[in-house]
Amino acid sequence: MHQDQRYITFLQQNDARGIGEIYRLYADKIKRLIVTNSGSEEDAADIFQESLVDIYRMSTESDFVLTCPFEAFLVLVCKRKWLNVLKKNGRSPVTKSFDDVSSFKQEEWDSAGEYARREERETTIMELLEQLGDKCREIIKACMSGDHQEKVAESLGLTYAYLRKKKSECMAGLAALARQHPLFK
Amino acid sequence: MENYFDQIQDYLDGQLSADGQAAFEQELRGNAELQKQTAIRREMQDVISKRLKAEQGVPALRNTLKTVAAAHSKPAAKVIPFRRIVIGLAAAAALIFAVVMSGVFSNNGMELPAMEATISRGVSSDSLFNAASKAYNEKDYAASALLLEQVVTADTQSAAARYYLGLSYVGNKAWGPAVTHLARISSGTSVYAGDAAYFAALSYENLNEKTAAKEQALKVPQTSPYYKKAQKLLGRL
Repeated sequence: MHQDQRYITFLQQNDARGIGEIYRLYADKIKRLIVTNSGSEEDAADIFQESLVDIYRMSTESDFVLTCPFEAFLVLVCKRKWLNVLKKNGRSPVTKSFDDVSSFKQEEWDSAGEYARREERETTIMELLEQLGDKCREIIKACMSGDHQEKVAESLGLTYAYLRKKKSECMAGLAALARQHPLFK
Repeated sequence: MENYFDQIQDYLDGQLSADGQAAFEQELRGNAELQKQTAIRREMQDVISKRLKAEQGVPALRNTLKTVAAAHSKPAAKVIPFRRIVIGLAAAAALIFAVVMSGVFSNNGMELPAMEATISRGVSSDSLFNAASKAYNEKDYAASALLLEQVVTADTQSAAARYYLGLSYVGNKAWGPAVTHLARISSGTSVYAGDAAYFAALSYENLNEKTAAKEQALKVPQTSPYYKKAQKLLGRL
């Protein structure tokens, strides 16, 4: 476990003081990176906040262990999110300064890259879920809520057998969307 | 011929018969595409379950991030040194009177007491404590937590600040930091000890740490307004 695990704990516990430390240490650095890559200070603030929320979402498993510097992980998540924004807006990224941001060892960047790729896969799965039709989305979310499936069927006004059939079809539909995505090919 | 790809969901949900499962697993061992699709479906299922659970904590986290970001973006020149507040409060000590806000605030069934606002004539606007009190009583618990963290850092002995800091975390459903501060108060001798024990017990209950919750609930004295609630909590545990 890396000593920076404490930053993950701050997010998991919604610890205002600890989150204040994360801002104090990293917010200005990320701001510089975004601003020197065609962004505004407001863009930087949004990217920083959303990246922390995504890291929180990823790390909610009780056994989540960080083995790389938090800063390297955070920089890579922010970089990916910002490049996506630039891509959506049809703007060309200049990313040299992202790569030059901190003097971590190559193995630390490699490890952070693994976490960032995992975060990207998870976020992509949730984005693909939002692309499904309303009914499929509702069924999948209800089935994944942790409640007994019989209870879920009852709450949705469906028979248990029909719920199982629809869940299987909807998950197959989600898998089909994933197969078209570069991350899952 | 069996279409094993149609059986992936039933396999993952443990819905296949024993024979069906054995046949599926035999096919799985020799079918790379089936392995790949089963792995993706398992990953999707795990991620969606985890992320849906995580979403429950996102609003409170966003609230804290917003508050911290606002504090972080303030120009440094406007930050008021804590020493100035302490000096101001001391100088105005004779004029200090405590305004105890009456009533309670509801927080998803968990009622938090109002925060006593200590108002010093002439310096009240400078007081982190008063700013925290205002935020707390307006239920902006992320802001009050942030302000009270600064107070307890500067004055580690302030039981009142630490008690309301713990309650701010309770209000923000940040159970871990809540027990850190409340358990410390409940083990002390301040006037807040008994009440802090009750809220520490509630926080431990939310962390599913039943033994610690019981220990704290048992500390709540009969003189505390939370005694009956503590007894009720003990009954739940």
